[in-house]
Amino acid sequence: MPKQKIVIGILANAGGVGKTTLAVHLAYEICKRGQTVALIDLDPQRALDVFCGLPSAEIENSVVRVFGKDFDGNWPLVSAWGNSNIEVCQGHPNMAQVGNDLVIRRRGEYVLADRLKSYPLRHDVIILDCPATIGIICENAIAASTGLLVPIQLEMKSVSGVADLVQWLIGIADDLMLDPHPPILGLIPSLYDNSRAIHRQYLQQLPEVAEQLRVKLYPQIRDSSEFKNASANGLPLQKYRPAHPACKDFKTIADDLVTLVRKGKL
Amino acid sequence: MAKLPKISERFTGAIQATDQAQRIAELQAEVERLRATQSEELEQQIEVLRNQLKVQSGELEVAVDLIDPNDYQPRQTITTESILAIARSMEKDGQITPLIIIPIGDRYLLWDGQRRWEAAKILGWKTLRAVTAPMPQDLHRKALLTFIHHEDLNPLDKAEAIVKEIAIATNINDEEIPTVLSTVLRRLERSSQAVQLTALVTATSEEQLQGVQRLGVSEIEEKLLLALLDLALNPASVKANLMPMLSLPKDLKTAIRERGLKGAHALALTVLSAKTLKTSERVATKERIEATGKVIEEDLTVAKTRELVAQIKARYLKPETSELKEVTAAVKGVEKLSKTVIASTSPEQLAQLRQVLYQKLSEIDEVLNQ
Repeated sequence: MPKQKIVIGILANAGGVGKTTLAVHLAYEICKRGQTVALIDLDPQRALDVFCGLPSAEIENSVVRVFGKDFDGNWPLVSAWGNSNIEVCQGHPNMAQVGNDLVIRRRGEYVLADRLKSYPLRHDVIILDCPATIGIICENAIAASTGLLVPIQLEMKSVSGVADLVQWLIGIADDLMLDPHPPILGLIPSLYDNSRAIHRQYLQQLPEVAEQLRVKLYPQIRDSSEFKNASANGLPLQKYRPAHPACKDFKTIADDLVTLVRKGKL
Repeated sequence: MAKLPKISERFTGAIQATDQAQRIAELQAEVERLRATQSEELEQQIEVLRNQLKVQSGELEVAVDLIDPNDYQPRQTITTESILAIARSMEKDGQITPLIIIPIGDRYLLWDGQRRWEAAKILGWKTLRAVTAPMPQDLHRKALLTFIHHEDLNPLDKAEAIVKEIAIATNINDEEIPTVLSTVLRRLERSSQAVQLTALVTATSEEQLQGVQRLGVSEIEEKLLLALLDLALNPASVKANLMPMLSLPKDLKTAIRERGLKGAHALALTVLSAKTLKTSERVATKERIEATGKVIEEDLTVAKTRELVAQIKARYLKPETSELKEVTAAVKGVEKLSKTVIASTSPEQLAQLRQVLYQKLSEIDEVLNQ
């Protein structure tokens, strides 16, 4: 059975809720299951560099090149953690400017989708780390994605952001005439701290909301200062503290994504 | 700790939007299914969907010439009478129900209301009221699979729908598809592998893939064969029965679509062409249209149709002509009459020669101008 390429957009509509943490740790887990992964950093804040322990890329070796009109299919990719099965297309602050330029460009919302179609990556799974605000870069991610993952921190700012995001997604997928609409593969409660009442309360309320949104709800990913320590060292937690219990929090999602790859379709 | 606001309140809008999108998708799927079964519930369900869409985004006035007919709807046969009836009603009472259209780029795809749209064109209306719907998932393929194996679908609509689907699935040009298909099938027949191909029609996709790969065909041929097999179609029968429909003259295509002419009859009638009748296009078309009318009105069998065609052919094709010795000799004889010879001939004899030549010239003209 031929493998199906899957492209996962990670969206949140709020900053600091764990998009990049999710992207990096998922990439590592999926790779551990024998698949190749590409991480594309669409966020001008380029946090992915820090998490992967990579020096900042020059603009011509960053994702900005992929969005250039004269892109020739030569993807700028570097391996993460010396593992050739995880490659990163690094971000750049100029992506903010790219976003402005895309607004007036023909097929501006579809540049990334067009690139992936004309110059397919060899990887089984492509993970798109998106900026925190909805806009044309996120629209590019949505148009290119076969499925979306939405981390949600159980605090009102993130919850509100997700509520707006879901509503916006339905409209935007229609507007972009995506066929099929990329489904939200799951909501992922992130940065969960069991000692906080608000986290506990909202975690209890979330299943009902997810059901009404017809979206799968994944087990929460706990908050831990070890995530911060790991990223400060440019490593995923699985490499930095392999025995840490939080390493297991990514298992269900990674298993599901690998099943999708093997099944050959979404 | 003070009571926290519930998160579900924050999600009211998102949940409503999700519900509505879901409801619309379900209704669209239901309408597609009812269309396939020609069910009476169809109109009711379309009505429910139309109301949902009206609530969601309201009605709009759309320019008639911005609307494209649904090429993905393989059943293209709608009679002129039914369009005229709708036109009369629209002229009298105005447009009662809005169309359902799907926005694509700057234009719209017609999803429901083909006859209202045709009628508006006849009436010279510039705009129609419409509601917009999202593109149903995989509209074309779904519509096609339902119809392709449906007995009622005429072979022409079927052939066009299949070519369209194959063109999308394989990236092969519409016009090239019949050529690629007949080339590969001829080769497989020569190497006695055609039977193996036919056996794959009922196989699983995996077996089809391996089976076609074993045939050693080119990449483009492989794509084409797999796409046909994927639709549970036998490539050999598509080539023999459906592809010839595509190159039928326009009058026969119209007769299939609007007057229910059968495929086999159309193929028999296509023999009546300018080339086979050795006559002008105009004359051949006239003969073909007359014969088509007879076939339909008298409900002739295929055999009777072939007989009729043979009779017409006989009227046009005269006994074989060839180079005749007499003519060659006469040409030489006339050439021998040099200026000097003519100058020394008596006027009576020249007048006689002129009369004979005139007579023969007009006879020759008569034959050549037929």
